[in-house]
Amino acid sequence: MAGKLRLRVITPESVKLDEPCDMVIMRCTTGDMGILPRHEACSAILDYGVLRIINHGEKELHMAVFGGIVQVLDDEVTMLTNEAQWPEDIDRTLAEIEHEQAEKRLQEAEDDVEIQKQQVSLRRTLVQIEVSAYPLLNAGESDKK
Amino acid sequence: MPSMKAIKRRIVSVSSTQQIMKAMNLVAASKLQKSRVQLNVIRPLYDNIKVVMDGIQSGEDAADSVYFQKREPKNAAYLIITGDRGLCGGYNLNISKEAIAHINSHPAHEKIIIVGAKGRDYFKRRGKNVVKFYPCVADAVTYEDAERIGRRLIKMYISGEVDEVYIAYTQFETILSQTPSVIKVLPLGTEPDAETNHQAMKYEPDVQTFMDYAVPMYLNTVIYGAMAESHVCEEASRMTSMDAATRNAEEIIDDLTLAYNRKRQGAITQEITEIVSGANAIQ
Repeated sequence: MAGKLRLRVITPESVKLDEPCDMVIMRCTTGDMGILPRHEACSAILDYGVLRIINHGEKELHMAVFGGIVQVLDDEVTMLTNEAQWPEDIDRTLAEIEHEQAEKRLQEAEDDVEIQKQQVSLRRTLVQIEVSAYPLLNAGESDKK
Repeated sequence: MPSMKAIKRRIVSVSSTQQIMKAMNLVAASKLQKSRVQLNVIRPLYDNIKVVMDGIQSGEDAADSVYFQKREPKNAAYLIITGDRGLCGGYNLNISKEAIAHINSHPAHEKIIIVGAKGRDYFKRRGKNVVKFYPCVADAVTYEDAERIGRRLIKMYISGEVDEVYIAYTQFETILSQTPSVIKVLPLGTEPDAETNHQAMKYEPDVQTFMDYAVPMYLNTVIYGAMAESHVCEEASRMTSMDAATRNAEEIIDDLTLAYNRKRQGAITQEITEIVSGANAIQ
């Protein structure tokens, strides 16, 4: 059994996370990418999406990551991103309101810049809503926590 | 010789100025603390993205990329980071001087992007080509600001408007010593670290696309770091100069108080002499 991965999530504001884990699954522009220990060295572009942090025998953790790059080197997974949020950092109600707004504006948008802007906002809020749902799901599955 | 009243007035005015300077010193000290924390926070991001860039650089595909290729330097963009406000010692002047020396010694035609009103005035007065001015966002350097500037620089570079990009900022060493410096950011240098052993790295989806994403991010981080570091220097410089000013004011007040007391003593002595001589005359 190989050792653990060292996962780091770094944003301009802070080092969000620096912990060992068994597996990470992240959303890249080319699709989901799963990393296990002893993965080959690689770098990829991150998309807006959910980062899943898996430890054997423990609850899966989730984090919303909004773009950036990732580098995997010697069992170290380093994610450099402009923004990352834990479920508890997300205001779900606000995200839902923003989601609706973005949808509405997208319908009305005319120029390309506005459409692009609203699409980004739409994707962002979708990810936020998805991530903020996980703790609720977990709580539903078992009442232990 | 000024009158006693005039001296008294000056003492009052100097000491109220001193009060202001003392307050400014304290404000700068607390802002310095805050900005130093911010600078420390950026460091991990910078260090890691540097590793990524070094990795790309050591790859074979890097040399063909637009970000690495050296072009005939006809136009050079300068990002010069200064402050909006004065009263911070030589901070604004030092960095402006350093930048202008670099511009004058460099053959390329300059296109200046300025952060901070003080720098804008300096370069406008000297008839330099200032293409864009951003007000100094000093009290809250945010990544978004750096991103905005970075996007513009990348656009200028890719479109061929400029062939080189330099950043002029102030390096923070200690509170008492800061060094203005000009660094070249684009094209990226081609001297990979010999020490770090780079493994063959796989890039997703491919190295060109990855670079198109990673290089702007790197540039933004460098700009963000430079802005944060300059801000630390500005506050440190303001703090030390205000501290010195407070001490100078103290000295002036001491001198004035001495002059005032002498004057008062003189007046008293004169009065006594007059009374005594008046009394003598009556006898």
